[in-house]
Formats: sequence, C-alpha cells, structure tokens
Amino acid sequence: MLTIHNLSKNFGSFTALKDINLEFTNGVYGLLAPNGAGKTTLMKIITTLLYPSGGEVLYEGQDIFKRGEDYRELLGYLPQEFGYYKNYSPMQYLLYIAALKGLEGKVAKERAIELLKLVGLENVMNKKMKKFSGGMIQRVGIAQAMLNNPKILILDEPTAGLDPKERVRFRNLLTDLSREKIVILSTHIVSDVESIANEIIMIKDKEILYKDSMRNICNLIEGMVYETEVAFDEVSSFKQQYQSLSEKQEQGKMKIRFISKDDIPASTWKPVSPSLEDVFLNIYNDEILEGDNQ
Amino acid sequence: MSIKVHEFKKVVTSTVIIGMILLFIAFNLFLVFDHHYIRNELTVLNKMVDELGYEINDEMLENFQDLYRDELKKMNEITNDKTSKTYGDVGTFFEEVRNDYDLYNVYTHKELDHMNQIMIMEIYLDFIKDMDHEYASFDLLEFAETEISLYGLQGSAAETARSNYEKLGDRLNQLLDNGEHKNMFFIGQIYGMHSLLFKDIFRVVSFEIMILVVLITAYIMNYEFENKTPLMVYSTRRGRNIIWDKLLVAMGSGVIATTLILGITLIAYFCLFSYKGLWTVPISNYFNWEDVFPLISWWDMSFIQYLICSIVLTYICGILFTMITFILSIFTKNSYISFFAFGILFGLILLIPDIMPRSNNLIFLSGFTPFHLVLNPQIWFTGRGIFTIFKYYEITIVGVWGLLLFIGGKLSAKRFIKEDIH
Amino acid sequence: MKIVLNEIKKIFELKMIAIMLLINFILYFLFTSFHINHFPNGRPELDHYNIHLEMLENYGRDMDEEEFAHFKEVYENEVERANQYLQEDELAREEGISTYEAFRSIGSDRLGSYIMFEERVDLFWELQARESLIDDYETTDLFIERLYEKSNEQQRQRIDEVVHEDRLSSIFPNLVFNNYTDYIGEVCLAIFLSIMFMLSPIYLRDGKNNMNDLQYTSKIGRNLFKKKALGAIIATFIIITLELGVYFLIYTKNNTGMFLNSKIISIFHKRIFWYNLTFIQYIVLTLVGIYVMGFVIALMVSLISSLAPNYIATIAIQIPLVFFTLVVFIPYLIKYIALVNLPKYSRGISYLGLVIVSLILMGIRWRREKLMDIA
Repeated sequence: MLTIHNLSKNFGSFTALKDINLEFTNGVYGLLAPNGAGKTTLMKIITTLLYPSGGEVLYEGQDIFKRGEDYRELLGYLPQEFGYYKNYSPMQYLLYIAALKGLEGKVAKERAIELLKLVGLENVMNKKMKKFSGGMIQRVGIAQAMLNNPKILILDEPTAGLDPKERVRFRNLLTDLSREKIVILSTHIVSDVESIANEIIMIKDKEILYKDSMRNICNLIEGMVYETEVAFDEVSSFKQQYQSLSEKQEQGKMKIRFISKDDIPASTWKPVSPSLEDVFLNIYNDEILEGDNQ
Repeated sequence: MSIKVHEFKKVVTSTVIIGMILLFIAFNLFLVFDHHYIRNELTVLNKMVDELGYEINDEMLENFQDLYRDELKKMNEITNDKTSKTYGDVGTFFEEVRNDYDLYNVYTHKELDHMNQIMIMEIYLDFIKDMDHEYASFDLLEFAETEISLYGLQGSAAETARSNYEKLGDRLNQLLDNGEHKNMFFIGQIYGMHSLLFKDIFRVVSFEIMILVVLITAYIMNYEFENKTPLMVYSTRRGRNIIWDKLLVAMGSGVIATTLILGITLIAYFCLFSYKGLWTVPISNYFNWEDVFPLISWWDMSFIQYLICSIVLTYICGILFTMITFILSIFTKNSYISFFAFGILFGLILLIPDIMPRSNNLIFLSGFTPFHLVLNPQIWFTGRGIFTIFKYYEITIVGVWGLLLFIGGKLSAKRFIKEDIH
Repeated sequence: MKIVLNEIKKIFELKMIAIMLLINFILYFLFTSFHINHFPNGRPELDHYNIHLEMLENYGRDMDEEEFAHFKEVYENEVERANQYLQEDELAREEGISTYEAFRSIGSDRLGSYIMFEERVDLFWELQARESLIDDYETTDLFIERLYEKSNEQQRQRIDEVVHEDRLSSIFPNLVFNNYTDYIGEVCLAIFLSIMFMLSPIYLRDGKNNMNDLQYTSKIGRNLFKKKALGAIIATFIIITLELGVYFLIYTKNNTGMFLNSKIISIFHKRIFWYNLTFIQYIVLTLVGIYVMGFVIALMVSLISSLAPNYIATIAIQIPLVFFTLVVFIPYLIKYIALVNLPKYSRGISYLGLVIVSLILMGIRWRREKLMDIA
C-alpha cells in the first residue's frame, strides 16, 4: 500500500501541491486534472525525482526516500517526455534500462523480447530508434516501464502519440498487467480513464478534490445534465444562464449539452446520464485551461 | 531584422561566451603588462623624435650628434665633479660602473637614469653608423638558397622560390632608394617591439578570436538541434533560411568579440608604450630588423597603415573561420563535434605541406590557407619565409578562401534545405 | 558492475573513438613525431650519443678517475688521427693548417665549414663532442658552484649529498633525458586532450537527452552518478594505458634502452634530482604522474560535464584547464617531476592536493545531486 500523507511541494515561493493525502492499493488510478494542476509534480514525487517540501510518502509503512533502492526496484515509470539514445535499437535500450533496474543479463533479455512482442515491436527490435514514429517510441517507453514487473507503475500521459488501434491495445495490456499492482496514470483523454481506471483522482487548487470510483464521481452531478436544442440567436443568452458542456449544430439549431442546478427542468430539456467529461468540465469550469504541466 | 535580434540574444545571454571574452581580455592585459619594464627606455625615442624628427638624413644626424655631444658633456661634468673622471662614451662609463659597486653608489638614481638615456642615444648612433653596411652585406639570394636547401625544394618549386626572392630583392632596392629604412624606431634587436605587437599579441588575439567565433558559430548554428526545437523553427515562414540569419549573427557577434578583445588589448598596449611621433614611420625601417632578416614590406607602408591592415586582416580571418564553422555545423548538427571538427581540420591543413612533393609548385598552394595566416601575423604584408613570401599572399588567401567558402556555404545550405529533419 | 560497463560503453562510442584517434594522429604528426624522427637531432648531438655508447661499453655505468684518464687518452689518440687527416688534406695544406690545435683556433672559416659541413668528417665532429664531455667532467666544481649560487638551503643540502656520495660520475647523456621529457610532454598533451574529449559528454549527454528521469527512478537510481564517475575513472585508465602502450612502442625506436639502468644524476646530464633514480625509475615515476594527473583531469571534466548547461560551455570552461595543464601541470608535475628546482615534497603535496580537491568537489556535487529535485 502506498500512502501519501500531508504532502506539499513548493518551488521557491510557488506552491505546487498542498496537503495531499492519498492511499493507493492494487488497482488502476486515473489522475485527472487540467495542465498545471500538479499532476506531474505528484508523479515525480512518487517516483522520487522530486523531494517533498512537507509530509511524507510511505510504501508499506516506510518512507520511500529512506527505502531508496528497495523502493525503486518495485517502480516502473514512463515520463511524459522520456529520453532515449537515437543510435540504440529498442533491444539495446531495454537492456540498458534493465541493467539500471538491476535485472540479470539473461532474464533481462528474455523479458525485453517478451515485452517488445507485447507492444508489437518485435519486427524492429534491432533497428535504430532514430527513425521511429512517435507511437513506436511511446511503445518502447511503455515496455521499459514494465521491464522489472513493477509493483507500482506510474504512467504520465501514456497514450499520447498512440493511434486509436494502439490505444485499445494499450488499454487491454494495462488491464492484464494491472492485477496485483498499483497503477497510477495521468491523461487528458477522459475516455482512457473511463475505460481503465478503477478510481479517479481529481486535483484542484493544489489539493485533492475527489478520489472515488467513476460511478460515484459521476453521481455528483446526476440529474443535472441535460441536452436541448436552442435557436442560434438565443445561444449566447442561454449560455450565460447555464454552463454549456458541449455544443453541436443540428438541423438549423444548436444542440447543447449543459448543466442546470434548477430544481424544475424545462419541458424541452432531455435529461441524460452524466459522463466523466461532464464532471471534469463542471469542476474545472472556472480554471484557465492553459499552461504547462510543471 | 527581429529574427536576427532574437538570434543575437542567444549569444549575448550565454554567460560562457561573455566569460570567455573577459578571460581572454584579462590574459591579454597580463601579456601586455608583462613587458612594462622596457617602457621607460622606449620613451627616450619619443623625446628624440620630438626634437629631431624620425627621418634619418644628414641634417638630422648632425643635430643628433650635437645633441649627443651636449649630453655627453653634461655627463662628464657630473662624473668629473664626483670622481674626477671623464669618459669618451657612455658605454665605457657603464662598463666601469657595472664592475664597481662603490662607483655605482656615487651616483644618484636620477643621474644614472639620465646617463642611461644618453646611453640609448649612443646605441642609436652606433646602429645608424652600421646601417648602410648592414644592408650592403645582406645577401637575399644567399638566404633564399639556404631556405631552399633547408626545405629540400627542387625543380619548379625551387625556381618559384628563387624568383620570389628576386622580386623581394627588387622591392628591397626600391625601399633603399626611397630611404624607407632610414627612419627612427624602437630598436628591434633590443626591444623586439614589432614581434611583441604583431607576433605575440596579434597571434594570441587571432587564436582567441578563432576559438570564440568557432564556439559562437557552433553554438548558434546547432542551437535548435540541441534544444529540440528544429521541427518548430525550421517549419516557420522563415524556415530553414534562418541559417542565413544565424550566419550573419555569428559573423556580427564575431566582429563584436574581435572589437572588444583587439580594441581593449591595443588600447592597453598603446597606453603602456607610447608611439607618439612614430605613427607615420615607414614599417620597413632599419630598426625593425630584429634578427637575421630585415623587415621588407611589399608596399611603402607607415606603421599606422600596417597596423590598420593587420587589424582588418584579423577581422577578416575571424569571418573566414565563422564561415568554415558554418559549413561544418550544417554537416555535424552538433556543437561539440563541430568544435573538434574545426580543430582537426586546422591540424590536417597544417600537415598537408609536409606530404607535398618538394619539386612541385603545389607545395606553395598548400600554404595558402587562413590557418597558416594566423600562425604568423608578424610577417603579414612582408616578404620573408619561403612559403609566405608571395607579394599578394594575404590578399589571395582572403579572396580565394572567401569565394570558396561562399560557394561552399551556399551549397551546404542548399543541401540543408533539402535535408530531412527528424 | 554491469551498469558501470554500460556507462563505459557509452563513453567509447565509435564516432568518438574515431575523432579521438584523429586528434592523436594530428598531434603526433604536428609535434610528437619530431622527437622520434630527429633523435639524435643532427650534429653534434649524434656524436654525443655515439660517444656515450662507447663510454658505456668501455667503462660501465660510471666513469671513475682512472677511466676518465683513459677517456682522455683516447681523445689524444683521436687528436693524433685528426692531425694526420689535416696533413693529408689538400685544402688544409693550402691553408697551412697541419695540427688539430691550429684547426680549432681558427674558428669557423672555409676549412672548418669544408671539413665539418661539406665532408662531414666523423672524426672532427666526435672530437668536438669529446672535448665538451671532458670539459664537463673537469669543471664539475664550477657546475656545482654555479648551481649552489641559485639554490636555497634545502637544495644545497641535496647538492652536498650528491657530491658527497660521489653520484655525478654516472654515464648518462642529457640529450637522452631531454628527448624523453620533450616526448613525454607531447604524449601527455595528447592523452589529456583525449580524456577531456571523451569524458566531456559523460553527464551532459544524458542530461540533455532527458534520460535522468528514467535513470533516477530505476533501481540504481541516483547512485548512477557515482557509477558514471567510476566509469570515467576506468575509461581514463583504459585511454591512458592504451595510448601509453602505443606511444612507448614508438619510443623504442629511439634506442635509448642501454641507458635505462643508468643513474640520471650525472655531470654529463647537468641536472640534480631529489632522489637517486635510474632512467627507468624516472620513466616509471612520470608514468605514475600521468595516471594520477589523468584521474584528476577525469574528475574535473566529469564535474564540468555535470554542471555545464551545454557542450559549448564544457569546451569553454575547459580551455583554461587545457592552458593550465600545458603551462603548469605537464612541465612541473610530470616532465621534471623529481628535479630540485621545486621543494622536495612540493610535487607530492601538489598531487595529493589535486586528488583531494577533485574528490571533494565531486563529493559535494554528488551530495547535491542526491538531494536535488529533478524537474
């Protein structure tokens, strides 16, 4: 069990995280927050790259920074932008990382081949990575994170750069692999989280807002999401009144999906069941969705 | 314009490059001030030139001798006073004093200082006395033969060398007819001021500038690849043509660095050593004859003209090195490798003359490079060494290399523009 | 160990090795080869060399008074042969020169240049060399006296010791020593530049390449920093050993093997050292110096590599280091490592100081790395 206790992190005078308390048991956790909310900072602390300014992170009751090597041995990490040597082949690269992870030579080789097959790169495993596409590189990255069969797998935007087919493959892979481990992944792509994560963690204003199952989180706005059709000239006044979630043109009118906290819905409103995306848009409504991930 | 400003900022905000410039300037100041001890003796010449003019002719010589005799008389009055001795020349006086500490103590510092100044006048007179004889007994063609056998030149190469030295001989005769040699200057055989300025200082400065422009050019040319921005930058409207902006900015930065380093160094030099009254002295004067070979400039140049030409050539060499690095960077795409590639190119070019056949004129061709140029700034625009004696040596190098590098740069850029960028 | 091996593999990238070889090639042919191709360097150096060989054969490693008397006898005999030569030579007869003494007193005129430079008569060249050696031997006191004047108390003690123990009679030519020190100086430069070139990217390459995130979250974690430093030291050892191997193989061409066991303190060498070393011992001492200095440079370069923001910065910061190596380290701490010109223990202290300082600096850097946020 991975426990985060009163964690905070400052960069100089800037506070990136404040009083974070979390508990992870085996399962897949989706970290959902707009850019700049502190997702990457949290992940970098869990991976020991950043030191907390306050609080602690415990694995099986022991401080991860004190455990050091013992802890990192159980760790798999795919950074958002990860480095690789252009002149290495995926095989060479995986063997190099395997050495850093302390895998035995023979075991490492078998494992590397196994993983390269799993991510569908077995045909190019001895080609230099110089000419690989973004998706191929990303798959190498996923493979390297799995090398040591980690107990804690941290994936920062793992599906970035993958095409829909690859993304499906990745989801299945993760479901397979996620038994008996803690998987924490961050993504912008809400549908990814929806399909894989057992629990969703939402960060707002440097603090944890929700940590719950998807169903429970969606329930937060149950009965408040509607769809309706609005004439074009009324759209702007309508949007001032209600928070719009999505809009599309349909047969000369605007079809709007929106949130209303009014008790009595209008008769033209069609209630729909809320999705995670609806919750996301509702929660981060007032935030400026800009900025870096740092 | 603003693209260039942004590129220029990359250079200016690099503390390393600024630090290097400061370090080099500090080193040069040290180099200049290391010679400060000759300063006092040099000012004697300034005073003499002030009174007598620098041109050595009969009238001047007469005045000079009068002046010297006056001074000697004054000195003898002092010595007579103190030790009841008189001397025929200052040399004898100093020989006595040097061997006799008690005698030395008789005179005050000021007196000895003054006598030392008269001594310098005496040395000048001695030098002038020997001048005509020195030139008359100097055999340029014999020197040529020694050089030819030293380097083992044969056949057409030896012929070329001989004809070059003959041409230099013509120029020497012309120089003597003009009386360019008959001018006062710091005594080269004692102070070596020409070597100090043009060999020691200009060479060091040239190398510093070379290191700097290579670093700056390699830095700015490979900036995008090393900051992972090539995809973005090279797909903009200006696109890959931005390398031309980069080249211009590298050149501009090189020129600024040159101005700073050379400027401050020369200002320090001329503040320490006064050239008052000597700026217009012909460079090919007798006193610049420092060792076995007189200084023979191909043209009748004054010191200041020679200095300006050297400064201009230093700037141009910096620009040529910028262009070389520009081309290397296009191929290496890595500032580290570019720097060493430049060093290796430098070394290889210096090695080429060694492997050339000694009987073919190609051996001279292999010496026509800017790398050879910066090795010997003290012989720029003059005839001396067998491989650099050509009258238009410097101009040819600048012209041919400038043209070749321009074409090479164009072709490399063309290649770069058609290249795949990953 | 496997991790260190991986780091060493990354240091010895093929492209880098090729460039390193080119650098060595160029430095060799521009500078170093001179001391191989021109040894002994013309005359009378060649004659000095030959006569030393003769002395070695006749008298063994030392030359005592008796042997010196014999040496002078040989000289007289040679003079006699020179006299005969002059009496038979036409030009000499023309000039009215019939004895070697007369030949010597006329200095460099037509006859002199004819015999020495046109005919290149070995006998006359060798006589000149013998004279200078006899002169060296006979003016021992003067040499000591001059040296004494320029020396301080500690140095004088050592000079007294050398004189007292009669250590000046070794047969060891100064040209062999000068040739070796000149050669090893150039070799040092090549080796140190190779180390700098190969090691500069060691931390920078991965830093610029975003590799740290992955490396530092693996089992080895930030300890990789130390492994890299160890890799740098091992790579340095490999570079030094291989280059020294090649350069000493080349050096054997100079044929100085017979002097290896000669004591280097000698009146013919005219240098006093702190220890009574043989030539081979001195060579070993310089080699130890090269290894230690190489490790110090490796640590400094690693430090620079871990701090510099880009390659240009590593080069720029190393330019003063190269200058310092060239002007201070190589001459004072390697070429003339045991010469009395510096206080007895100054070199040892310098080496110790350099090693300690570079280790401390790397230690500080490591402690910072250990606690640093990897943003």
